Amino acid sequence: MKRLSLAFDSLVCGLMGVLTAVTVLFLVMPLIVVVLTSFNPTTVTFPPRVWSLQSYAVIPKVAIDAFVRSLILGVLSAALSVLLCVPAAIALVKARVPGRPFIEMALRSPLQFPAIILGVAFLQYYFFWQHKLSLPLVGTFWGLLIAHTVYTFPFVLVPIIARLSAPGARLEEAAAGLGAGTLTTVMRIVIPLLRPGIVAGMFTGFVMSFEDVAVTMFLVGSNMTTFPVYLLGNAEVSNTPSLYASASLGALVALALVLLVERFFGLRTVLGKG
Amino acid sequence: MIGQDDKVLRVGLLPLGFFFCLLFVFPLGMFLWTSFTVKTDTSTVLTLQHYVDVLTSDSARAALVTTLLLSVVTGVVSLLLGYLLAYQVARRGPVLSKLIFMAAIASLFTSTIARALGWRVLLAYQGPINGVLVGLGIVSEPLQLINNFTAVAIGMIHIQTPIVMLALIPVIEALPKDLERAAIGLGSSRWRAFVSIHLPITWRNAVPIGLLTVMATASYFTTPVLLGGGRVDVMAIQIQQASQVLFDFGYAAALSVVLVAVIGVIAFLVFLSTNWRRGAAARGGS
Repeated sequence: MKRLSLAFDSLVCGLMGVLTAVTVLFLVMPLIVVVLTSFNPTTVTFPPRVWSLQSYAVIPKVAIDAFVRSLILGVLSAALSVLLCVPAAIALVKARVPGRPFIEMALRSPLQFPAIILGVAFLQYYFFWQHKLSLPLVGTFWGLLIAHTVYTFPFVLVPIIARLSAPGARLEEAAAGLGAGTLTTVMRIVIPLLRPGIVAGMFTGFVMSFEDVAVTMFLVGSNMTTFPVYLLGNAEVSNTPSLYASASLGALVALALVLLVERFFGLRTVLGKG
Repeated sequence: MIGQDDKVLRVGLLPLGFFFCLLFVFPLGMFLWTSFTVKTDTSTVLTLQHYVDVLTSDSARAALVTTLLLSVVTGVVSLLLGYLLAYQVARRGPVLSKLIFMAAIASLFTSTIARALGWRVLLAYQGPINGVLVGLGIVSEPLQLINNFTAVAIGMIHIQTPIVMLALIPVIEALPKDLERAAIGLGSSRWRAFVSIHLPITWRNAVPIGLLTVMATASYFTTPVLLGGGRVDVMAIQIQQASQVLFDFGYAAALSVVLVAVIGVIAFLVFLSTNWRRGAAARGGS
């Protein structure tokens, strides 16, 4: 009986090991395949019969423009989210705000809200204001920036609130006890202690903005396309090596960011807060 | 609390509050209103016509069924795979655990479109997976793997598995290793220690994570578009078509309300299951 259960044990462990290896392979295969496919010269075959970098040379200018636009949009919307979320989070956690649970729940609600519905609602809303104020919003950079900030701010708010609520040295109480005013305490104690939360929030916020399709595709108009929307539009109608080359470039930025965060802050601490 | 000056701090809530109301609550409120109204040349009339249209449309109903089926399949499979990975990350040695973690993260942060493109190559009629299947003699001729429900499900599971893994790692790490060691020391097999100690404790936290996955999948757009090849019609595609092709905001809004209602029901299940968890913890006397 004992021996049988031991044999069963090693069988189960072996199977789990195999299944884990298969799952890891399942996760990385598509990424490897995209990069390898991009080395095809003219038509998509896998594995490529001829290896070349030609597809990278013919990435159209539209794609590069969209790529740069997405980078700027991601950085700006993450920064704007931080500017909005830090004071709000400090108010929610450190001051007695009536109805705090309700406010927090409301501000978190976009996290579970379907992005595609937000996108359509924004399109309609922008049309409404364009009609009222004759102020162009659809197909403008500002229109995209506003929508992206609405979409990304909850991802920034959550780690900042988590960081603020973490029990730790009650340094701000010490500062207040030593006679520092409210604003001095906030600027010199609370915000510096908040830095890991802000980094985590900006990281997630940037990634969400950089990769968003569902909100953005309704608002890009004819000449404000972002990188993922460009990729989607092209992937729907074509299948060329340069499409795979563009996709690889996008993946490269994401991986570089991940490695950077891992190197300087530790990915598990950053992601753990989100 | 800092000092006695809460008023100064409360002001900090105003910019975000204003932003949130003007640019989240208001657009969505307006969109909701659209679902109940029809504009004629002279006036706006209240009506339930858009909802009648949605509920009597065969394509909308079929899309709802497909969406639910896709979400549930994705939720269940990615919960299982994510659990397996999280367990390995939490319990294996540092090198192996780091390797699995980095593989999942690399996948998580690659854009969903790039990943769908990868699957498009892998699942193609003359692609590598069919090549292996035919080469090994498992099938006599290549299978139709792309542009169908299975392809979309594979793509969705690929997207959700790393997310589930990330959420589950702290759950599994919170469980002290000693508990299993004690069971094994007392003569239990590793398998039994897992089934009778590990699973019952972590399961309560895993179910809400699985339900969140179901909710997230229900509104996905890119993967069904790129891997379904027009044959897998989900609610997100219906909404996009209604608003960008037909310019029928009323119909799009009614579709959205139906989708949100379905997601709301799932969210309610999440709420119930977390409450059940608290209840169970209370009964456990902690």
